[in-house]
Amino acid sequence: MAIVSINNVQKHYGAYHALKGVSAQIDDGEFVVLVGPSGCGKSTLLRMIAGLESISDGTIEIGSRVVNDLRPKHRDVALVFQNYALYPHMTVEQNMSYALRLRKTPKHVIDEKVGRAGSILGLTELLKRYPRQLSGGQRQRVAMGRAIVRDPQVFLFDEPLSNLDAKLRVQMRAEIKQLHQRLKTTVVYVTHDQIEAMTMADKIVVMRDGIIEQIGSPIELFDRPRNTFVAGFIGSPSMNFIPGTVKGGRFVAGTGVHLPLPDGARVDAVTYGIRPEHLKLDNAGFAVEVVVIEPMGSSTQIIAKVAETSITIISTERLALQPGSTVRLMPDLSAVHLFDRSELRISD
Amino acid sequence: MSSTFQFDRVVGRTLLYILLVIVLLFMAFPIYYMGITSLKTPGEAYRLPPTLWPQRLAVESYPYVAQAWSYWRTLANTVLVAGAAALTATTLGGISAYGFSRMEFTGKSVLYGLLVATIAVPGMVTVGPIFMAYKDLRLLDTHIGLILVFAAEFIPVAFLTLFTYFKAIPKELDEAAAMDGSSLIDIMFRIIFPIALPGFAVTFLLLFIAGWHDFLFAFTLTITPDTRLLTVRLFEIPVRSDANTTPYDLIAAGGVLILVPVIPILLRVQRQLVEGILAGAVKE
Repeated sequence: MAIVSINNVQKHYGAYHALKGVSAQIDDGEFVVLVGPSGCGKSTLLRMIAGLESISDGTIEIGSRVVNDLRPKHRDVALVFQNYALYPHMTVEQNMSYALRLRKTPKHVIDEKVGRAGSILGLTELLKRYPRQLSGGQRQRVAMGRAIVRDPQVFLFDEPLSNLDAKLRVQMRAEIKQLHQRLKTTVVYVTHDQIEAMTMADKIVVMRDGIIEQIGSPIELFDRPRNTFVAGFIGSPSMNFIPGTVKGGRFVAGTGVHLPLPDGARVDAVTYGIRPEHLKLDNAGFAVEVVVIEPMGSSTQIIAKVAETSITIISTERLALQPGSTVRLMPDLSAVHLFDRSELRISD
Repeated sequence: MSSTFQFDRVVGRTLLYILLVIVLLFMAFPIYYMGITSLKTPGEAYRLPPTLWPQRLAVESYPYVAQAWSYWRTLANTVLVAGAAALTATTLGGISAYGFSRMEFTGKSVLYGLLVATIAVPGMVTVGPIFMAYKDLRLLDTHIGLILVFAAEFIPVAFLTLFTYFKAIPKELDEAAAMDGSSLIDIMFRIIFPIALPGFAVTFLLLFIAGWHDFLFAFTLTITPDTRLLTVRLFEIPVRSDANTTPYDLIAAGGVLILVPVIPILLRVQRQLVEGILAGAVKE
């Protein structure tokens, strides 16, 4: 277990500036998720922590030791790969014990560690099998088992669930979280899936174009996103953004739709943000035109148009609406987010 | 409708088989003809028009050739030279192919181009200079000299074959092994090479056969019967003391004696090739 501290880290690939000075502190035993769209540098950062990419500038410390020039094997971290990277010519047992065998660990210790990891992950029956004889979920578990037996200071996960089908992904998500609660090892987890980030993380690091946009707990990011990017990235379906201007205590969108504002809203707001679940059907509200209705059972998702902007509404009521009809919506004023011209959120 | 379809299928299949039989006959006939000629009497082997089956089965040509060639000695020479050259080339070609498949370095594409270009240099061009150099180096008429030349000729081939093979193995395996604490040597010999074993086997066997086939260098760089290889011996087929005609039966018997030892290898290569292809197809 260890603190990982990332200090103004940069990465250049020739002329391409992949990481433009990234700093973050990962506390001992914390589960940190790096999230962002593809190409944002999250995997690069993870691979730099692992020692698979060189660090162009800045430092990375693991357990108060600068690891910039240390080889992966001396960093005491374990990485679970997206495609599992299991050794195809070794059995599950050999895959898991490989690192220990390299270190000339006594056989009885290896057997004990592999046995324990196997039982934690439900692999006991599969120890003699080869990776090709396993299902996707089982391979994923073996990849984690390989990491666990080493008892590293930090676990690194590189999009470990993206090769699994939706159902298995939800199941493995819970298993990884449970595993972390049990082992209490520091975890750095990379994903592009904000739901994975929200459900698993103690702390989320949102990245875009080689910089960190915001660091915070899932609820912090959800309730107080720093800018439109974080606001749109975290939460599903995404937050609605309606462009307009503040006039006479109201937010005027496009050709004159008036949206209610919370008290004391600043006049420099140019984007009105409201999450789909914070819009209620209410005759006192503003008018929108219904475009598509998607019943999902527990809720209904409505796609509507307000002043040429498409917005989404989530309603838990059973609605009898027709496409083309007009409904009125009332935002929950405590959940309205206003953004200024530089896309920053205007704090309350 | 469905019966027409059935009919079409049967006709299609029949035509396919006829075609396959024609191709097979075309390829197999020379070998068949060699086989039966080796079993003819010297007189019948020389007769025109030729017979397609010996009128009298005669196996005398075999012991004659075997004795004249010191067959077992020559066979051992050939296995030694072809085997050692193929092994050297597969090992060195494999190590360099691994490096090329995994590392970026200055001049990589130039070096790659040079390596591949050497395949295009005909042996005829280099045999003269090599002969003269070997004379000075006292490598003429030695097996080690032949092994070196063959290995040098084979390395680019082994390199190319194995390079493709390594490219197909995901880089993450190297990285996972590095994370697990492997050195570069561990990664190569404990992870990547074992995975590429079918590729190594096929490469080795194909080069072994290439060494078995070589005539030019084997003929030029060896002098005494003690170092000669099988193919050269075929060129030096003895003429019987009692005849002044071309001994077709002896040439055919010699051909059979050269061909037979590689048949098991060819069958093995065929299996390995299929396995190698499958291994690539299911790799995750």
